[in-house]
Amino acid sequence: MGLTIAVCIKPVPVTTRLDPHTGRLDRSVAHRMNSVDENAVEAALTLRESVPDSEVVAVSVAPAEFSESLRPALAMGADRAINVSAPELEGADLLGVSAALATALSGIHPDLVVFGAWSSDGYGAMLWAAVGERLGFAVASRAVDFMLEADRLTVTRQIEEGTQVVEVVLPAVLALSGEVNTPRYPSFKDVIAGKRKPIENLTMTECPVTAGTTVLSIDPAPLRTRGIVIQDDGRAHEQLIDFLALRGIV
Amino acid sequence: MSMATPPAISGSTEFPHLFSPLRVRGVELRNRLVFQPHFNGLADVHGMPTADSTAYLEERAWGGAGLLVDGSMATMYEGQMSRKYVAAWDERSVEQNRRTTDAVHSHGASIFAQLNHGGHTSLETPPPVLWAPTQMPEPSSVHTTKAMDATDLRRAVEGFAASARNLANAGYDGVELKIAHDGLLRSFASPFFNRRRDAYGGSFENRMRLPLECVAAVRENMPDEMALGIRICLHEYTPFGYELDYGLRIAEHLEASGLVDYFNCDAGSFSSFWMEIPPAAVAQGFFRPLNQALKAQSDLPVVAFGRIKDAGLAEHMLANAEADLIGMARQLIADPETPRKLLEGRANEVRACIACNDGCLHAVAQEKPIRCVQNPAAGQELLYSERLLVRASDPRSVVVVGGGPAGLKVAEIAARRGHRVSLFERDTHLGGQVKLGSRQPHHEEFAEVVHYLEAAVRRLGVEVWTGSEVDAEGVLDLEPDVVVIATGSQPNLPVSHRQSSTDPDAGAIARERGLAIGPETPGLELPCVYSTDEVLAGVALPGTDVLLVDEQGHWEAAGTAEFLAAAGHRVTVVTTRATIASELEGTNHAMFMQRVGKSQITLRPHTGLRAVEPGRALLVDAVTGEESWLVVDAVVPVSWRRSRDDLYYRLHDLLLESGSPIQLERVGDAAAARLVQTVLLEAHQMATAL
Ligand SMILES: Cc1cc2nc3c(=O)[nH]c(=O)nc-3n(C[C@H](O)[C@H](O)[C@H](O)COP(=O)(O)OP(=O)(O)OC[C@H]3O[C@@H](n4cnc5c(N)ncnc54)[C@H](O)[C@@H]3O)c2cc1C
Ligand SMILES: Cc1cc2nc3c(=O)[nH]c(=O)nc-3n(C[C@H](O)[C@H](O)[C@H](O)COP(=O)(O)O)c2cc1C
Ligand code: SF4
Repeated sequence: MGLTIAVCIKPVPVTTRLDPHTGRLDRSVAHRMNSVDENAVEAALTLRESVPDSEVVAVSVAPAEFSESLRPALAMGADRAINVSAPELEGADLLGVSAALATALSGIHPDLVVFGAWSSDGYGAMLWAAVGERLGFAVASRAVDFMLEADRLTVTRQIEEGTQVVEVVLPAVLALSGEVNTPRYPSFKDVIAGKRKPIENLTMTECPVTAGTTVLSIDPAPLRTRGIVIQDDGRAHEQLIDFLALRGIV
Repeated sequence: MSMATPPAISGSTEFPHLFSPLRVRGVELRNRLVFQPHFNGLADVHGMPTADSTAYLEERAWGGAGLLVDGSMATMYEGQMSRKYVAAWDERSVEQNRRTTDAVHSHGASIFAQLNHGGHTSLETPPPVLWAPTQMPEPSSVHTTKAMDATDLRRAVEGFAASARNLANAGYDGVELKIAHDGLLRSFASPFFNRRRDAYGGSFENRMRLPLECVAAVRENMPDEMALGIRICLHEYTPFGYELDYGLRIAEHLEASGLVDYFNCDAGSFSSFWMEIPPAAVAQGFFRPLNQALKAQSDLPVVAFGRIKDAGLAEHMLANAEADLIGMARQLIADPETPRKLLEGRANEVRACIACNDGCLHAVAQEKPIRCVQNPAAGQELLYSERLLVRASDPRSVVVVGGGPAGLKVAEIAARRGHRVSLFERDTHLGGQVKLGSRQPHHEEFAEVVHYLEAAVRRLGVEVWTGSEVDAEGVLDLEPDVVVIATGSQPNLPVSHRQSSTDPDAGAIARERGLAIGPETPGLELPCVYSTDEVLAGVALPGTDVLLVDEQGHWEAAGTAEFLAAAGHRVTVVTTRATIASELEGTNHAMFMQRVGKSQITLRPHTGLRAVEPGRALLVDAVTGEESWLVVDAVVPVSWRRSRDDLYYRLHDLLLESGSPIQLERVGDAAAARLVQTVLLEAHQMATAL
């Protein structure tokens, strides 16, 4: 029997615009698939070829209106897509998103979960670790090359000193390092086929863990000097402690 | 289109200097961005401003500029450089001008008017006789002049006085006198044009007498709070004219009179008109040293000018105290909303002026109403202002085929109106021919046509598919409500030419139906013939000698000749017309000719191509009909391109057969190959009708 390969996609805003008055990231703008996720899709599609009858499922956790961001993955060749939303996930942090993603993933029983290297709007470079942890999967991160044979994945990892080759047994999480491959351009026919494939929109009635912190504002690169602004609604002290706790500072 | 409460356009974290207010005499400017004066050709042929004139300025006030300088306007009939120069001396201009100032003020901006007596310089329809200090034409012109007598001198001053009264009555906040790149007052100040030996010439002080008398007359004829400024030419950039030191001396003298409230920098002259309104070949920020020099000497506020379009540069110039205000003419023509976008943290949405001069200067130099390549609404705000875009009551799904300027513009406007748009481009990058054009020397800024549009469609959530070549059947599978074919054009070479292997022949269906014709010159299928698209895509040409046939007249021909010369080829350019690159706008043409003079390019006007054979081309003298052979290694024919319209016809037939209700449109070069200005206007019109 083939494998189920999940590839995690993050819808990101097409522009990062700060409202000059509130200092908050404008979320009203259109969203698209995070560009390094194209590398993850490409990797998943390549892996699919190594085990017959395998399928690639694109998965995202985002408000339902952004689920069309999964469409490029389908056009590239993913077999189906699932988006999971929950009202509580609005503005959720690593804890919340990783829990929701892990729950969504366990629903499809993946043998392999592929992540891009980072997301252009958040803390994606940690998400794969948290998801691997929650699923109890082996994790191979910073992958620059990989090969799948039966249930064994050989991964070349980028490390400070150079590269390292590791082997993991499925089920596993594979997190890529940067732009390790050249994502395919879907042809017009692929695009049409992609439009016919289903995007399943699931709503999580019960969110496993809601946010540990609430991100109140995000500052884009040009205004690097400004930190994260926590606005005082009477609970600022708690938020501050949460913020520091999450980063292991207190 | 007025609004009740004017928004305050000041205060910004990103551009703190640009958005700080400044007081000029009695006038509080909300920020440092100045819409520079420019003749816009929107008045009627009697010099009366129109509703279009008002809408044009109102749009820029709405867009957030701090100060608008309207004009130039003429101070008297004998000084009216064109029939369409607003006749400021005539009381009948006051009513419409009042509408303009009211509209501008309603948006919180201030407005001055620039006054100019045309003197010896004129545009398309000059007054019957041109006035000057000394009888002589501008060296680049054919019109000689009348040397002014005492009555003329008095009347010239009266013209300024009457005009100032009318402008005050019309509600302007200030008046700017033009002692700049053209006009009578600059001629008087100039040692070259003014050779008089009376009280108005001979010495520096005497040369400055008439300008000062006019300044005094303006000051006396307007209320105390109104500001008085001078647009001052600091450097004429001609072999015979004055340079910066003399320009600064003029400024110093005027400032010493105590009558002047600010300076607006300027340079160039009619005989160096490419420096007045510099095209893209003049570097951005080129005039900074002039602005800086005046700022260093003067205690008055100084407006910096010339090729400033980048907000970062503008902010830096203010922070660096190079000037007090930033003048932008063309940037605010191309995107009236520039200041507002900067202030709202939307700097990446600004649509840049590409310094082509094709829409603005080219039009008004011929007395036509102003237009802009980048902004289809310029000069026709009442019809096409983006403020008039309405959301579609019935949002439809729109498929756009082709990611050149035409397809992108349709996608942008349709998406802004709420339609669901997907755009398909067969290349891996968007941009179409613009990608090729911007590879030509001195033409890099042309790419900004696509930079803006690409950013816009992505921001608006248009589904963009690159690397995806559309076919007719597939379009039907998508089941859209509307299909817009914007597939562009290709060089009109024979089907058997190598081109067909990389860019499949387009237009076969049209040719078969007699709706298009192929090229008729023998030999164009030969391997030594290269298309512009091949050349600019980087295909190396054999040998040294290239013949470029210019039956196009614009950048595609001229810029490709330069591209080849830069790659080391010796290029002969022929055209059957009287001039090579005949369709280039004047400043671009002038600078092209200057560069040609220094390069390995030979120009042969009145010469056509009759046939190509391996290693040689048969040329014909377009006047005498005499034939001659030219030995060449390669031939690049540049003529009208053929529409890539096969997909359009195929879909058209399919839809007809199937009785499908899908609406089919075609736009841009796919309908007829043209330049970007008309293509974008057509696309805008189409998308507003969807
Ligand atoms: C060298 C050069 C210099 C120029 N300089 C200037 C200038 O200075 N000023 C000016 O105003 N104009 C200039 N032009 C002209 C200008 O570029 C064109 O007017 C303009 O690009 C036309 O826009 P368009 O979108 O109609 O077509 P194009 O720019 O040709 O774009 C059409 C697009 O459709 C795509 N396409 C075609 N078929 C399909 C398909 N089946 N499926 C998907 N995609 C498809 C093509 O790949 C292409 O990207 C220049 C042109 C050239 C070649
Ligand atoms: C169409 C056009 C007409 C112009 N007419 C005038 C004019 O009447 N008076 C003037 O002082 N400057 C005139 N200018 C020059 C501009 O004020 C400005 O100095 C010039 O365009 C360079 O600045 P920019 O790069 O910001 O456009 C004109 C410019 C354009 C494009
Ligand atoms: S026509 Fe060209 S130069 Fe003139 S304002 Fe528009 S983009 Fe700029």
